Amino acid sequence: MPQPILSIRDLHVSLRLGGTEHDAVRGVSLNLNKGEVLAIVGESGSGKSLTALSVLGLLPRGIAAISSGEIHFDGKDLAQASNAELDRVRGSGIGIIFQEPLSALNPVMRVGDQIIEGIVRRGEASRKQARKMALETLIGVRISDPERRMKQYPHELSGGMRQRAMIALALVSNPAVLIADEPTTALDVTVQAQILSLLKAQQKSRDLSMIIITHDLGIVAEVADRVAVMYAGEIVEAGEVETILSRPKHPYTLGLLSCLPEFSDGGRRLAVIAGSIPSLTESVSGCVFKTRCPLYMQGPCDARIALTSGPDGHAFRCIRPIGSETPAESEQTRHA
Amino acid sequence: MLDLLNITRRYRVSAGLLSTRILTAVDKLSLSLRKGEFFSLVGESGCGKSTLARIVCGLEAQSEGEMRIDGKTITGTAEFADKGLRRRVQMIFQDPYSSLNPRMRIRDILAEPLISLGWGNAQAVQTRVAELASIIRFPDSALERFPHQFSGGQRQRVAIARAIAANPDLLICDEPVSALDVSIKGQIINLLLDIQEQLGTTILFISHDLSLVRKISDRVGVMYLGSLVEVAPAQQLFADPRHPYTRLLIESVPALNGKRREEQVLAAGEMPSPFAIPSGCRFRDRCPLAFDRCATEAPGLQPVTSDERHLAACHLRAQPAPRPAERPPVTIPQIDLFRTAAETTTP
Repeated sequence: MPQPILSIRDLHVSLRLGGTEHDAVRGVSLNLNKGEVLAIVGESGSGKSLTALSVLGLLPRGIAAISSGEIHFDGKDLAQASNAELDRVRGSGIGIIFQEPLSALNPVMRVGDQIIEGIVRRGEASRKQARKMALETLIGVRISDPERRMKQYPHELSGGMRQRAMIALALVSNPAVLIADEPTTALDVTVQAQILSLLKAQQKSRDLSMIIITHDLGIVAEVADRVAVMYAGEIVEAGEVETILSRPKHPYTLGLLSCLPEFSDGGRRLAVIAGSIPSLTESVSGCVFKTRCPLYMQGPCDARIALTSGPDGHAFRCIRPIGSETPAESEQTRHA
Repeated sequence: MLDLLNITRRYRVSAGLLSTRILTAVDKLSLSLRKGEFFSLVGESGCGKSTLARIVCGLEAQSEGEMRIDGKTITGTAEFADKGLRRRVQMIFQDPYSSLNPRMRIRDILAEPLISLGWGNAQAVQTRVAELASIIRFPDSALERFPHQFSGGQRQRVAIARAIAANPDLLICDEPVSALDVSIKGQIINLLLDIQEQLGTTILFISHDLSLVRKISDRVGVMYLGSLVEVAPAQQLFADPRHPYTRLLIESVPALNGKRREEQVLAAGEMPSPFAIPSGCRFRDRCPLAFDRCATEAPGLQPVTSDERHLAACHLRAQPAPRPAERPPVTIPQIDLFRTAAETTTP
């Protein structure tokens, strides 16, 4: 069994909406193994970004907070860590890149200075050495004309170059873990291809362990080794990417795949998952997906369902998984 | 029904004190849409596809060129209203959160265009509102509610109902599902397909999602830096792309089978600034096939073969791709589980 480098245990995150607290992440447990790429996939409101932000203590203050759970990294529990401790982990232990480099980078500071500042502040090197490290990292992320980029402001860079600068900023201190939160969502498809390939190359050459948050199953297939599918604050299915994408067990995962235009049956219409994700203020008892599930069965699906894991590490939270019911039975549920 | 001839749109952009620069967002673009077809325009941000949509919808005027709708020539936005085109051409926008008035009830949002376009008396307007509600599967009670009480997908259905209220002939959809989650995109797409098939509405669909466009369009046009570089029936465009930029776009989409990409795709750089469009072919500085002629002579949009329906703006358009761009199909079990459940939900 590989030793996980980062381990999230039974994480709960509460979100404050209109004065009341709601459970936005409920009991998420994840292991990130050394050198692997783990994707967390889900739609808006699934809790995927809150889970990732929890790791670095970056939840928006006063709005969201970890209510319980443990996050083990480098012998510490980050869920309990002080701000000073988290500050040491950020950058040198765990790096993070965001969807919008334009809002994540400081707009009034030159790109080079932003990278240098972090290194100097963490006391890793002198300003002179830090400049050399910054330049080397910018060259590593294949930024064109790196000397000039160092002196430019973020708004002077194209979208792709900005995301490269963001990646350099996250990697300059050689973190063991990189969290990428929708790193290519704001980019055009040709630039997305370049950034994904760069991330994969950096991950391999630096032996990084990486968590990538995305809503795009194509990106999951391209970069990840394992994937966790989140829905309404819970992990509903997790396992090897190849298994999950070709033999999903949870109806929600199958639904997500079915909605993709790639799964064409020759017609022009797209599949739809009926209904919408339950809002935070609605409390659903039992399976979180039951209101939209074509296999819902009154009774068993109304009780709390545990995430059960098979020997191959394929885990799912469903008592009527895909492929288990007889055709006649599935016909019945559909018309019920 | 729609003819665009050498449409050009330039913007004056301030470049510091007293000086201005000219940005050409759409450059001598020609295109004809047939009545009742589903035409998609694809391209990356900054290629001019939204500017073109705004011109066709009469929200702004072209700097040069001619636009004809059903034979009527339109040169400016004022003429749009004069010639009764406000009713005939309608538009849906990307963000259903900002495109609906938050203080109006759904019933009034749907009635407003009918009243301003002179649909008829109050009775006729209310009858039409009820029809529209049934098209988007909203129960009567939902009409009395406000936009914020609905999800993004439901709001976008309201935006569509409002756009088709007075039976337009041309519906322009500017990235209508880009802001929506995967599981509900289908609600909007299927509704648009119903409108095209059942009402015979011509649809101009603007998107950057190639997999989607491939599945739902009759024809597809690819835009790059203000110009059309390729136009073809959807299946043909994806099976036999003749412009290197079209190939680059197709190969850039992450594949579900996790296939690795060609080094060429990764070396293609980014779209240059629209202030500095290269001479000759505008794609040449990113093109793996570029040769001397591309720098001096701009290739026009011309038939690829004797088939007049497939056009490409490339000197090498007669050459098929070195290898098929097709990807092996991916299969999953029980795909029909959600197809059969694919009814749009009522709010």
